[in-house]
Amino acid sequence: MKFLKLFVVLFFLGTLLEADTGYVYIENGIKLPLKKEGVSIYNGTPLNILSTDKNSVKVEIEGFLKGKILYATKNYKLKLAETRMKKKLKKGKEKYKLLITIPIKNITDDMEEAWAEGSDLFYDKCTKCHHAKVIGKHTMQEWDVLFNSMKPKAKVSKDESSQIVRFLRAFSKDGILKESD
Amino acid sequence: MGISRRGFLQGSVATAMVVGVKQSGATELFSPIKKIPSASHFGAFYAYVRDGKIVDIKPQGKDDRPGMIKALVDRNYSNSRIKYPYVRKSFLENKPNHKDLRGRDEFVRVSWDEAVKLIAKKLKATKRENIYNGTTDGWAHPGLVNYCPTLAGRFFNIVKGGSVNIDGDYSVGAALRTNPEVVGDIEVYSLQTTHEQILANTEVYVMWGADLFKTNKIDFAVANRKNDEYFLKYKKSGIKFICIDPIKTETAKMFDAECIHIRPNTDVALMLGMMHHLYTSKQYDKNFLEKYTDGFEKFLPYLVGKNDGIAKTPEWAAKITEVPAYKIKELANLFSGKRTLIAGNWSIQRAHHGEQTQWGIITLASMIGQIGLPGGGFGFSLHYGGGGQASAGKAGPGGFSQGRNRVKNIIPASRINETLLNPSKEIDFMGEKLKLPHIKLMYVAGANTVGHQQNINELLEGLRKLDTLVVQDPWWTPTAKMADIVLPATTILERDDISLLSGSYSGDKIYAMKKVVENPYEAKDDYEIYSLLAKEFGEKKYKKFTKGKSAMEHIKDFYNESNAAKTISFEEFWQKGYVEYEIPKEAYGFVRQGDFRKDPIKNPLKTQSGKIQIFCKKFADFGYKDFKGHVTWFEPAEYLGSKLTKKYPLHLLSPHATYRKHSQLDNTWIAELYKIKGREPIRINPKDAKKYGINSGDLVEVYNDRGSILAGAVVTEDIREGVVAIEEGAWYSPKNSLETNSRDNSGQPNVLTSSRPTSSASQSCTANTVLVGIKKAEGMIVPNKAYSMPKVNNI
Repeated sequence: MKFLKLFVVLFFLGTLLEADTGYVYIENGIKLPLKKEGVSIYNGTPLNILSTDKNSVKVEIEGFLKGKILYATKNYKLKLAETRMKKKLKKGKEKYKLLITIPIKNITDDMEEAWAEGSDLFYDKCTKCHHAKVIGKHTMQEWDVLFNSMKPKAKVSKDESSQIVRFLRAFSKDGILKESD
Repeated sequence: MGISRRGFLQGSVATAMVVGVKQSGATELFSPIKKIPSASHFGAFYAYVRDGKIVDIKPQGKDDRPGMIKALVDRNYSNSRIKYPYVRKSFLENKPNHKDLRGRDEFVRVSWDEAVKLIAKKLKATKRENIYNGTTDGWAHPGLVNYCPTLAGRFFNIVKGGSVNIDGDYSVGAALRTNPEVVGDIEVYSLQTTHEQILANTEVYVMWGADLFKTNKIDFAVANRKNDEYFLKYKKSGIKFICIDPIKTETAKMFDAECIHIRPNTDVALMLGMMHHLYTSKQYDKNFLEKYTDGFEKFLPYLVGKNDGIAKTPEWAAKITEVPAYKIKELANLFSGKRTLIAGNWSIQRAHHGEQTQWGIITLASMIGQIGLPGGGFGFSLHYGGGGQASAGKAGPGGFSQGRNRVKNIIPASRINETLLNPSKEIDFMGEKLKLPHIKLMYVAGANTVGHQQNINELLEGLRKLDTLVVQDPWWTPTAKMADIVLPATTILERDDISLLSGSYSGDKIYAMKKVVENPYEAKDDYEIYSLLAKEFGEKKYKKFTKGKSAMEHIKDFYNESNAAKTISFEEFWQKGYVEYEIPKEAYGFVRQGDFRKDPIKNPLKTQSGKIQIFCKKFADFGYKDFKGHVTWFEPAEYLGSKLTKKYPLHLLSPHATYRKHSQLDNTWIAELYKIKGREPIRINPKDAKKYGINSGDLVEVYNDRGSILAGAVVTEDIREGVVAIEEGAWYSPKNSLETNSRDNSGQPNVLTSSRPTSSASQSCTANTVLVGIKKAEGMIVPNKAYSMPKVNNI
C-alpha cells in the first residue's frame, strides 16, 4: 500500500514537472491562506512550476498588481493571489511575478478539476431555464452584466455567486483560459 | 379509444346538468367529480374530471378572463392531436426525392421502439456540430420535469456532448445585445419598478408600443392576475397615459390614453425630435447627464446635425413619423415637466435597426433625468410576466440542469433560414465574423419553428435541405407536418409536474401541475421520451440523464430545493396544489436603477464607465455602417416612407396575440370567437378599406414578394391609415403544399415577414418591418386545413 502511495505521488510529480504548468486546487471555497508565506491564493490560478519536492511545489504566479492583489488581466477583475510581503514579488515590464511554495495537495495539472466547482455551479444553476451561452464568446464585462441580470432568477447564494463569476471571468473571451473541446 | 370534440362538448352539457343536479342535492345519481389542481402559462386552474374525462376547467383564485384556460380542455381533445409515433413515408423508404416531399408526404404509423431506434441511429450518425437543437426557444408549458428546452439541452449535452443552439431570442434579440453595454443590464427580463411606486409617483405613463393588459395575460411561468387589480387602480389614479403606437390598443382604451399614431418603425426619429427640442429649449437635465451618463458630448453633434448636416429637429422628425412637430414639442415638454415613466416594449425592437429603439428610450430618459426616481425613467418589462409586481425574493423549485455544451457554433436567433440555405456562410455579428454551421439534423420538441420564424416560404426551402427533421409535440403543428419522424407527447393535463416559480416577477407561488386525465393514445411524457432515447446511447448515459429517478422523484427533489420546503412538506404542497410566498414589505418600495441614482459611485452600472453609455466606444469600434456608437436614425428597408410603397402600400404589423400564446390555442374553440371565416383577422383602417373595396368580414389576400396569405378583414378606426395588423401565431397551412410559395390559407403573417436581420450587430429578427399589398380574395377558396391531421397510414 505504501509503495502504491509513493508511486502515485511520484507519478503525479512527474506529470507536474512534465507539464510545467499547474493550477491552484482548493477542495472547498475560493481563497486559500498560506500563513507561512504571507500569501493567499485563489482557486484555479494558473502556476508556473519551478521545482517540486515530496510535499510542496515552488511556483511562480504572474499577474497585474493593484494594491495587495495580483490580478490575471489588466482590467483587474480576476484575482490570482494576495500578499502583503513585497519581497515575494518580482516586477517585470508590466506584470509582477509572485514566488511562493504551495502544498502539493493544493496543486493539480488538470484545469477542469481545478475549476470544477465553478463550472458545475454555472452549468447547474444557470441552465435550468435556458441553455448556457458559449462562455468564450463573451467578455468579462459582458458576463458580469449577464450574470448580474439573471442572478435574481437563479437564486444563488453569495458563495455560489462568487464561484460562478470567477469561473466565467477566467474562461471569458478576454479571460486567461479556454474551455476544452 | 378516442375522444372527439363533439364528445367533449356533449360532456360539457352533461356537466352543466350535473352541477344543476348537485345543487338540488341529488349527486348520487352520477359519478363524483374530481377537482384537480394544475397550472399553465395562461394561469393556474382546477380541472373537474368525471369518469376520466375533463368536464370543465376553472381558474384558481380570482381571474376575470379565464377563456384561455378553459380552451385547454378543447386543445386536449383536439383533432390535431398526434396519437402515435409516425415516420414520413418517403423518408422511411429512403426515396431519393424524400427531402423535397417534406410537408407534402403521408405519414406511416410505427411503434415507439422503431421510432426511437430510428432517431438514435440518425443521431449517432450525425456529428454534434451538424445537429440543431431547435427546441431552445420553445415555450410549451411551465412544468420543470417535462420542460422541453432543458430536457433537450440536457439530452444532447449528455449523449452527444452538445449540439448547435441559437444565441439570443426572437422576442428581444436586439435589446439583449445592446442594453448590457448601454445600461449594464439586459433590462428586458429584469425586475421593474413596482406598481406601488408608480401609483404613488408617476404623473405621465408612456406606453411606447407596450400593450400592458394584453401581454400580461400570459407568463413565461404561470400567469397570475395581480396586474389586473393594479390596472383598475391605474384607471382611477389620475395618471395621464400616452400610447405611442400605430394601433389603439386595448390598454389605451382602458386607460383613456392619448394616442400618438406614429408611422411604424419611425420611433427613433420621434425620440430624436424630442431630444432635439429638449436640448435647444434647455429643458434637458444637464446635471443628470453629467453625473449619471457617459458620452453625451459625442452624441450631441449628431443630434444637432453638426456631423451630417441634418439637425434632428421636431420638424425633421415630423416628416418621418407623421407626428406633428407641435405635438413632438408638447410631448417633450410634458415628459420633462412631469414625473414620467416610459414603458418601452419589445416589438419596436423587432424591426430593421431595432437595436436603436430601447437605446433611444434610454437616451431620451437620460435627458429627461428621472431614471432611478420612483415612478420615473424607463421600464422594458412592464408588459411582461406581471411586470411591476413586487418580488417575494424566495427560491423556487429546482430543475434539471443542461450541463455543458461542447459545441461552440451558434446561430443568432432569426438566422435559421440563412443557416439552412447557406451553410458555412460568414456573417458579421457583434463586431466579429461568425461562420454559420452546417445543419444536417434538426430536432424540435414543444416548439413551432414554422410559426415563429420569419419568411416561412424561405424557411420551408431550408428545411427541405436537412437530412433529418424530428418533431416531438402533442399536436400536428405546421412544424410537425414538415417532420420526418414525429413523436407524440402528452399534454400538461396528462402528466404530473411542478411549476416554475410564478409569476415571473413576483415569484409568489409554486404550483403542483397534477395529471388530470390519462392520455388516450400512445403519447409519452417528454421526460420519458428523452429517457428512452438516452437509453439507446448506453446505460451510463441513461443513468446520467435520469439520475436513476422517476419523474415523480424529480418533482419531489425539485420542490425540496425551494424555500417553501423548509416549512411545508412536499406531501402537504402536493395535496393542496400550491404554496404561496409572502411578499416582504420592503419589496413594494423597489425602484429600478434606484440604488444607482442614490449613489452612482457606490452602485455603478456594469457598463464600461459605470454610467449610462449614451456613446459606446465598443459599438463604434465595430465599424458598421448600420450600427454606430450612439443612437442613430436609420431608414428601414421597408416602411411607409420607402419607394416600395408604390408596389406594397401598407405596413404590416404582427403584434402578440390576444387569445393565444404565440401559436398555442390556435387549434381550439377560442380561435373561433375571433377568426373571420376560419382565418386570422387583419385590422385595417376604414380609409384604406374603402380604397381597396374591403368590408369587415371579407376574406382578403395579403401579399408581397415573399408570399401571400388569406386573412379576414376587420375594418376599424383602432389602426392608423396605411397600417394593417395580423396577430402572430396562426397555424400556417398552404393552399397546395406541392406548389412553391403557395398561398397560406390560414393567415400566418410570417409568410410575409422578412428574414432580413436588424443590423450587422445583433442579427436579430425584424418581424415588424414589412410592406404588403391587399385585395379581396380571388380564386377558389379551399377550406383551411391548418388544424387537421396530415394524411396518415395507421396500418
